[in-house]
Amino acid sequence: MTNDPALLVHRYLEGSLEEAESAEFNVRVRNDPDFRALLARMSFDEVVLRELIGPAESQPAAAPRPAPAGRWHWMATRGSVAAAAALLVAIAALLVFSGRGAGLATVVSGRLAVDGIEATRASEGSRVTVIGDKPAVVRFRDGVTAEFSPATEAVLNDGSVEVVRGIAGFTGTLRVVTPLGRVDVRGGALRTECEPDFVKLTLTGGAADFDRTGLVTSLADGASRDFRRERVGKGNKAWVEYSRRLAEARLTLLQAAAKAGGPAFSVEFDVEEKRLTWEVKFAKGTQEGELKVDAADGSIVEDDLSPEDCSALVKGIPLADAVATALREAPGSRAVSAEFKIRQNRLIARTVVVAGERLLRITVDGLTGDVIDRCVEDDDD
Amino acid sequence: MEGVEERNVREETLVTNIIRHKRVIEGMITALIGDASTAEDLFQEVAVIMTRKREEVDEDCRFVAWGRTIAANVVRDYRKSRARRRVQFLDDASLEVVAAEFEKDDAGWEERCHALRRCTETLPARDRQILQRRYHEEESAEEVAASLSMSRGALDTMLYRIRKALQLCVEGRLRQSEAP
Repeated sequence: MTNDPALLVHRYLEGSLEEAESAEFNVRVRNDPDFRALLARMSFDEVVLRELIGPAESQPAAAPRPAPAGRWHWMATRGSVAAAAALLVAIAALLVFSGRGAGLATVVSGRLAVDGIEATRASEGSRVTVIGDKPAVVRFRDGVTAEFSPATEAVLNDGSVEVVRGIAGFTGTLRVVTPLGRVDVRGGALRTECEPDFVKLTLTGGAADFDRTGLVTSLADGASRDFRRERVGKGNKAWVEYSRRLAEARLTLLQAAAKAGGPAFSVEFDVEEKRLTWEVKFAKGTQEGELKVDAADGSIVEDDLSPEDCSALVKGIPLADAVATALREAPGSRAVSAEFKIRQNRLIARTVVVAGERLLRITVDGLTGDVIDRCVEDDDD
Repeated sequence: MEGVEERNVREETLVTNIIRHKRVIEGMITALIGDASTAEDLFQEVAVIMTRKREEVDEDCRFVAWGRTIAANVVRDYRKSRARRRVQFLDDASLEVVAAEFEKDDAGWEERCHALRRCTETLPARDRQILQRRYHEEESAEEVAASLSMSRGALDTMLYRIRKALQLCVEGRLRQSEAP
C-alpha cells in the first residue's frame, strides 16, 4: 500500500485501487482536507486533459480540437454563446444524442442511429438502430465487437447488449440479453437472431450459457439452437421453469385447496425465490380468505382475510370437479392453476395443466362442468 | 408571468453557465466515481436535467452549487444501478464532502485549466502519444500496454509519472502567476 497521496488518487482514477487502498482512500477523503483538495484537482485535470489531448501528433496541443463527426464539442460553441438561447432545446438533444465523449462504444463501419439521431459513438444505455441497408459494426471500449444487421435494434450497456429485435453478431466475452433470456458468452463469436417470441443462437468458438428463467442451456462451438416463447399467465415466467419446479412440489393443487377453511375458487402455483407455494383463495362466509401453502411440506406460510364478497365465485361446481375434468382432458398431466371467473355474466373455471412438455389451458362451464375450451397456453391472461 | 424576453435571457444565462462550469461539474463527477469516461456520460444527464429544471435556478442561486446537487443525485442513481457490481466507489459519507470541494471560490479552476494547457505543450512526444491513446482513442490500459510492449504495471507507473509531472508543472505556473 502506498503512502503517496497523489499515487493513491492516480490509482483511484485508473480504477486500480486494491481493497486495502480503497479503505485507506476513503479514510483520507473523510479526514484530510488536503487530500480532498488533491482529489478535486487531479479529477479536474483528468477532465481537462481529455479535452486537450488531440488525435493527431501534428496538431498543436493548444489548438482547439475539431469535434469528431457525430460529437458536439462544448468549447467550439463558446463564441456563439450570446445567441445560444434558441439552441437550448438543441443542446439537450445534442447532449443526449450526439454521444460527445460517450465512452462506451464507437461505430467502426456502417451507420447507426443512437437514440434516434445518427451518431458515431454511443453511451451507456443508448438504444441503437441500424440506418440503411448495410450492417453497422461497433467496437466497445473493452474490446468486444458487435455487428448489427439492417433494421436491428439494441440497447448498449457496459458489459452487456440487449438485442430487442433483429440479427446481431458478437465477438468477445459479454452478456447478450435476448427477448427470451440472457446469454453469457465466454469468447468466440455468437450470432443472435431475435424476435419477441423467437431466438436463434449460433456459436462459433468459445462457449456460452443461455439462461432462460433459471433453466440453463450450454452452447459449445458450432452449436445452433432455436428457442420459442411459450408463457404461462401472470408474468413472463417460462413454462419450462414451471414444469420443472412443479415436479419438485410434494403437495398437489387439490391437496393445497383442501387446506382452505371454505370452498376454494382460485389456486395457483408460485415460484418464489427460495420457496414453492400454492396460493389458495377461498370463500369464508361472505369474506375472501387467502392462504399461502408451502408446496414442499404443506405448512401455512400466510393466512389472510379480506372483506371482499366472493360468494358469486363459489356458486357452481366444486373446484376439485373442474380440475378433475381438466386432468381427464390431458391424461398424465398435473395442475398448475385453477380459477373461477365470471366472464360475460357466465361463471367459468379455467385450469392450467402441464402435460409432458406442453402447458394446456382447459376452460369448463362453472355450473355444468362441460368443457368450453382447450388450448395451448401462450398468453398473459 | 415571465415574458418571452426574460425567458430568453434566463435560457441564455443557463447555456452560458453550463458551458462555463462544464469542466468543474464533470471534474466533480469524476472525483465522485473515479472514472472520467463515465463522468462525461453522466455530465450529459446532468446538463439535460438542468435544462428541464431551469426554472429552479435564479440570479441568487450559485450555479455550481445547483449543479452539485443535481450531479450528486445523478451519481447516486448511477451508484445504485451499479450496486451489485464490484466497482470501487467513494463511500456515502465522503460523497458530499468531495462534491463541496468543487464549490470553493478560490479553487482557481480557470487558471488551472490555462496552466494545464501550457504544460501539455511541453510533454515529450512519447508521453503525449500515451495520453492520446488513453484519452482520445479511449483504449483500455491493457490495450495501450500491449501495443507498447510493456506490462500493465509499467504503463500505470508511466501514466502516474506523466500526471505527476503535469501536476508539478501546473502548480509551478500557478505560483508564478501569483507572484508579485
